[in-house]
Amino acid sequence: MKDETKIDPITLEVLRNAIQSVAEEMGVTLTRTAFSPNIKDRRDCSTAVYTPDGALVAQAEHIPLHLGLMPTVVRKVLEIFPADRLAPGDAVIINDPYVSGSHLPDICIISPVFVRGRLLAIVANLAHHVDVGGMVPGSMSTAATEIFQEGVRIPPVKLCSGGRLNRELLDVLAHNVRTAEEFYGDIEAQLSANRVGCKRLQELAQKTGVEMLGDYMREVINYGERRFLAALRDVPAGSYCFSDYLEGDGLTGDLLKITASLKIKERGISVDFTGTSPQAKGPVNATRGVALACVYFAVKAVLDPDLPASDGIARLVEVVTPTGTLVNPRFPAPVAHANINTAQRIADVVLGALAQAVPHKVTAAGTGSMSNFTIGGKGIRQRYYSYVETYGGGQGAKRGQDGMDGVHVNMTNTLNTPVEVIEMSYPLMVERYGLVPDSGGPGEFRGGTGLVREITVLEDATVSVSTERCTITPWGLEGGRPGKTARCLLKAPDGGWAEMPGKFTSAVSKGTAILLETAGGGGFGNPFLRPPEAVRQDVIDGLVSRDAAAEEYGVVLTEDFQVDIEKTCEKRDKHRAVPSSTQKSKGFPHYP
Amino acid sequence: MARFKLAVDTGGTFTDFCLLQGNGELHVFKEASSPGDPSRAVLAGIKKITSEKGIPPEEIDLFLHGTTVATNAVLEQKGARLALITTKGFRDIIFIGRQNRPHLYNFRQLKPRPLVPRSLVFEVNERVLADGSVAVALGEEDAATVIGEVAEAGVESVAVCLLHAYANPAHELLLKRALQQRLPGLFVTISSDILPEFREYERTSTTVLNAFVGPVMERYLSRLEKGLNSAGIKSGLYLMQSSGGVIDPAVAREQSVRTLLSGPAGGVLAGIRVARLTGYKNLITADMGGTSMDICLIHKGRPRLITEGPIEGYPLRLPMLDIHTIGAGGGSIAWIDRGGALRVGPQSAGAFPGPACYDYGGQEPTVTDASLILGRISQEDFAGGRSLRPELSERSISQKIAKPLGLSLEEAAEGIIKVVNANMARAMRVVSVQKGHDPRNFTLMAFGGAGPLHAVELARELGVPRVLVPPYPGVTSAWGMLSADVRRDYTMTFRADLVLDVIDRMNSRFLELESRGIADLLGKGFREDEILLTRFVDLRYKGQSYELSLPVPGTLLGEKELEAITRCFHRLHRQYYGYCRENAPPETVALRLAAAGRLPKVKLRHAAGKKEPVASEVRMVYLSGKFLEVPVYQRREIAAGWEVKGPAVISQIDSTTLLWPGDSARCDRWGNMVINVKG
Repeated sequence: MKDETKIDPITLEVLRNAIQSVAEEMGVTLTRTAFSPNIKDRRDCSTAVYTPDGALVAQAEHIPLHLGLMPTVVRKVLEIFPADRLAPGDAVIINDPYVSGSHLPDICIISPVFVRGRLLAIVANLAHHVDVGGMVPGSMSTAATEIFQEGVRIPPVKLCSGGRLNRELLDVLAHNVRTAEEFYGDIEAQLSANRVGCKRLQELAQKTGVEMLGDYMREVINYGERRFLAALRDVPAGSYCFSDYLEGDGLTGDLLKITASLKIKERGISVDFTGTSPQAKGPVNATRGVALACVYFAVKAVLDPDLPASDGIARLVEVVTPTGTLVNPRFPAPVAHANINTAQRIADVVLGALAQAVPHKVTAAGTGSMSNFTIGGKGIRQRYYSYVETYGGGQGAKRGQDGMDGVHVNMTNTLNTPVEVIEMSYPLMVERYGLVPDSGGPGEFRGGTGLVREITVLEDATVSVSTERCTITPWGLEGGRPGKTARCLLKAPDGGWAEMPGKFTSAVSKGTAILLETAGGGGFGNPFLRPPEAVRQDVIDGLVSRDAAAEEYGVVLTEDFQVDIEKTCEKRDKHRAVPSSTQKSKGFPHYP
Repeated sequence: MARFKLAVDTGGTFTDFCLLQGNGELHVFKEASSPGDPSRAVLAGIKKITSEKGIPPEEIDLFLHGTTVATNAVLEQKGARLALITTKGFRDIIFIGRQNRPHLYNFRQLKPRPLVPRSLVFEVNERVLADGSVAVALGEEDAATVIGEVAEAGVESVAVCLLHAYANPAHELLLKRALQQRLPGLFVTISSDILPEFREYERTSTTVLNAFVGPVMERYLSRLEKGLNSAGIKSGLYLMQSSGGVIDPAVAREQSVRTLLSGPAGGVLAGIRVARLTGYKNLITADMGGTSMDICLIHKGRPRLITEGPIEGYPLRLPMLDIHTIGAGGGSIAWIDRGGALRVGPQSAGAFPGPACYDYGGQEPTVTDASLILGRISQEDFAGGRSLRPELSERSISQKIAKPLGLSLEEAAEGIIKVVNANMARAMRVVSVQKGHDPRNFTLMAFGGAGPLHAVELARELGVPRVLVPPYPGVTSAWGMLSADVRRDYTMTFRADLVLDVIDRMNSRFLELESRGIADLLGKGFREDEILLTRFVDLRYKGQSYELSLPVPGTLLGEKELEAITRCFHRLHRQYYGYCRENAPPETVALRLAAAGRLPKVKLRHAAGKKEPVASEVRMVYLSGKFLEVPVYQRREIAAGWEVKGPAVISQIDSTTLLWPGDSARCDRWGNMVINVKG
């Protein structure tokens, strides 16, 4: 901050509102004008405003994954296109995760904002495109072994120069994707969003003066830093380490380890992923941008959930991602699927480490996967259809509060597809959609329950499932028990149920039923301390069985659902005398 | 013509009354609300107004009422104990919701707890498919079993929501009849009656909400009707809906869910009326009270209706006015956050303890305290003659804001106003700029106790050239209700490509809806020439999961109309979403019908002749960093044609309007203060 402008807290708040409004209006423009449902409805996109040197000032983010991507990508691009190579009306396009980004479908467009020849700011947006080419429709192959199979790779290049669109470049790109019409439409929407951002910032600069707006943009970042530092004061300094596992890369079931060493210092946090497994052959590798997003998500959620996204966080969080590992692969490792499972686990690991410092502010592990479920085939009038959905599960419990039942956790928050919409749109019949009793990890505060969906295919189809936490349970905290694992079952039209692995693709015949149960969340605190009344209510509500109430919680109920006080006391006393497995569980995953 | 028309709007602190005489004369007043039994304040007020004005109660022909009884039952979780019946395998629909968590980062912000416990959700063995065909018929024995379970649960209300019941309601109807037979006195709501549309979670939620508030509304209406009866009032009673239309008590008893978001609807009706009277067809209405601000955009004289909104996190899928609410009002609390920024709201001191200057024990500095310090409101006649204590405001703002930030008292107070204005401006951008409207083409209609005080600054910030303050800002909602008509809404899922093949089917479906609408309104005593039918079709492009509701001609639809509808859809889609796909034929999702029954109207009288009020005092008001001598005028002395140049304060019993240097105002013939905002 320069001396000339006196920073006052009122103007700061007024301009912070105004700049945030600009980012939001860009977001609305993008979702309004985009073509594909992915951007319009699922809002898998983000828009942001930066200082001229690429420090994030304000962001309208719709999914947490972009929290870490947006701050890094612009800086990288500015290294290649410094201010003197940018002119009014320019727009730079990029999707290469090996420059910066998450995976190829996420395309970022970056534009400079000039006022009277001076670079005032940068605006940018990121949107998940339906298809960017590669070996399968949707560009999200589970079998890719190098990034070339995942689609077209765009290094940072100018898509617009001085307001003129490079049509040839756009045509080359569109030629390499399956859904060219959507591609053109979505790119145009991304350009419109930046145009709106430019215009609004120029208007704002006219009101406040360029100098002053520039100073306050930097001050907004300082403000974020101050708020983050203030929140950090609540966390005891120290070193905390945590590890957790992924159940394979889709090609093999070999466990992949993610380790984080977290240091809380007086003026910041460092997270070191040294010790994490080497990069995988399959497409579950997370770029550094994804790893950063997960770290930012976890610290923001724990320290200050309402903290506006800005470079203020990045300044105080140092992240080490050793090259050649699962959290920073070497080119040309495939990366498309990191968002489904790996990102969830990275967030779990950082939360697990933070739980050692501030257990009361963290949740136990949640369902741990975006549980991707895809059914494709020929439907009505032989038209190809593809049902794709991600399923939530149990949220981990936290001090003072049970985990939520059947929700998305960590890095995603997409809506489900209504049963009635599934059945009117696809040759599928939903047999059941519900919560899984006894799946929430027992604890003084119970973990949330997983979800179950059972679907019968009415025509021959191909089914593909990708979930996690099938063998490694979601951990509890402070003596809370782990949540129940996920599982997937298949019933052939004439046969019985057969257990399937967590990740598989299989052709199934008409009449086959597929059942997916997602994992529950871990519990928090010793389950024997849960008030018997709360256990009783769970039994009445059918979320905990009588047996589990007795075994896991030491609460015995009579025939008519009353707490049998005598037997309950007896059970709970005995437990106190002889430590059971419950007390051994100390917030670490137990794995096979 | 009605002899007297009465509108009564129940609010949290006050119940507002507007009584309009057949000759156009208007009487307004407020009565303290009686939260325990809101009908007490309503009846007391009516008694007072009839006796004071010497009006025979039987001459009140129409009684329009905005009530928060149902809304409060949800906010306070004090509705009926109820059970829910679902299709076998789908007991948990209402617990899962849309599987999203309400806050991305805050672990502790929970999904709303459903209004029915899981132990009172019963599954029944039946299954209807998407095309309405029956896969598993509902057997008598299965029906009897589930009804037995409901009986045993000892509930006073039951909701029934079965899969695909919008396509074939037979099973729901069967259960309804059986429930009513077996358990007379039980309040029964079935989803195909309330909302025959697909998407099971939203339909279940809406049905459950109705089952939750229905018995509460029933008790309230019975008390109210009894009281009205004994007060000698024989007029028709009509209740405000979220859509801006009214319904009679019989419908309100069955479908009280339709009143849930009706609170701010009266203000929007006032906006529509003002647009018609003044010719300012593009309005942004801003109703700012003690705790929140309701904003609605009226374009070409019409507000936008939406088909879904949340109440306390529960989705409610019924036609409602598109109103944006934020937590900013006179009671909003100023605070310094951990990053050192001055923030205002969303916490509010409410009516109690209220702002520090109320002297009810409130310690926190509020927007009202800041206005008082700056001389913008009077310490004597604020909010109906309450006297305020500026020294308490001063202490609170000094200690909590000015000293920590190193500002003078006035700088801090002005800062609080600037920040709350910034919050409101951002909300107003959401309803205008972000929906494709340019604020420069709009007039800001400001009302509620605090609206007129902030309006000019807000307008300037947004580039709105004009502000309109209605004659009685504090009772504008009740005033708006005076122009309400009866409105019944009907809907039907209709999924098909919008092509010529389906047009016959569509015509006959519309006729079905219309005959229901006409029959219902004829049954309520309306003549055919008082009934106005409006058809809508919900359209989208294939693959989208949201729809646009489009009014369509009320005639037999043919090829020409089809083309016109398609063109109109593309155009509307471009307006709302910035693009259209002219080569893609739209897909219809639902047909809707709004049947309006016209209630008698009273012509408003012009405001009385021109007067030349003189400033009642000159007050020191802090504007842009310094105190200025500002004349204060009394609104009650102002009549049509009066003009004033800013700076000026126009004071009235329930509100204060503030003009800055360079602004000018004129009183129009309807008594509205029309302010030209300096650019």
